[in-house]
Amino acid sequence: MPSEQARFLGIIEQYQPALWRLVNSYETDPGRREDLFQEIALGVWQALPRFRGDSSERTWLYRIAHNIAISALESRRRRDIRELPMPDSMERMGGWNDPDRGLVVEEQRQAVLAAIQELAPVDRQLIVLHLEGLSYQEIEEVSGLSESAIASRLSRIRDRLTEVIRKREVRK
Amino acid sequence: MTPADELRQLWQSDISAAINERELLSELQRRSRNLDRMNRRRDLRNIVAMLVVIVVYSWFAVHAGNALERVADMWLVACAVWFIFYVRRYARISRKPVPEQTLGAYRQALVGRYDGQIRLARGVKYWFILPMWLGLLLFDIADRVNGGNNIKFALVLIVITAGSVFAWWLDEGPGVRYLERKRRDLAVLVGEEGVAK
Repeated sequence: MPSEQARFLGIIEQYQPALWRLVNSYETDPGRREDLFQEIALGVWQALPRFRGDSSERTWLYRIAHNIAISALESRRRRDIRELPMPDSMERMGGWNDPDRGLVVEEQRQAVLAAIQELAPVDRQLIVLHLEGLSYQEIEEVSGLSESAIASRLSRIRDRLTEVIRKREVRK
Repeated sequence: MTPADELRQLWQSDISAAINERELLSELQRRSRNLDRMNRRRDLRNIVAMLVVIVVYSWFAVHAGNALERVADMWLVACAVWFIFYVRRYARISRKPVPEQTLGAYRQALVGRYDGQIRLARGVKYWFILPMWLGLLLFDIADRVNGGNNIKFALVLIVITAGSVFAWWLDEGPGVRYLERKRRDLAVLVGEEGVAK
């Protein structure tokens, strides 16, 4: 198998859960999620021959994924339907021994996801990168914003996220 | 554990992986091949269109009744080559930006595509309407020199001028306004910072 194909398969295998989480933060519709995932994968496949290792594979991948997602958002902005997240990921979720605990965690996760989907795109990108465990320096590499700007924005986003989740809980 | 850590743990607890990588790869290879084929066909179409215009009007120029008509034919050949060159050059500029750049640079590039299209639309009067109007005017003059009457000459002149003015208005009025609205929408969508005009 040519090395490029093996490399691509390795990247997708390694980052598939993270890419799905990223896709979920942009798309609420399950069908569109799959389309967006494929768009991102196509972008990675086409960009792979140009990857020279100037940045880490992880930051390179997140740049591509977020940029393609924002393009997809632009393409469908005129027919944008803001729906509540579908509970499909509950079906895909695994690893919970206690069903009640699993349900509570899933509800919390959906609340976080819904709150993230309500953020402005730039804030959404920053918080997703942060939640994926990227350091401030890595987020700087991906976003192009300075570390100090990232820190202050993330602090504001976290506050907002907490507030949104609290409001949702109050509404329930 | 801090609330930030809890949030991260909660976020990363979704470990869905619903796609078979090998099936995905073969699907992507198929789509890549289709895209390449589509691009090659589009380029071929443009080149064939350019060649047809050049051949047809060159033939007209060779068989023209007088020098002025020949100049008008040659002028249209030059216009056709120029339009295709110009549009292809701008198509390259307004192509989707590469996604490997930073998110900020990509947002700028996305909005920049609209700026390019707006510039192209604003320049239509210089790179399309004026040369076409001059070419048609040359044909009108050539016809008059060949024995056409003054009324026909005036009527043709009025029609081509009115048509050119209408195209100019359509382009710089509703056309540019539409593009500016789309650019504004995009700037709002991707975040206002760094993309202000």
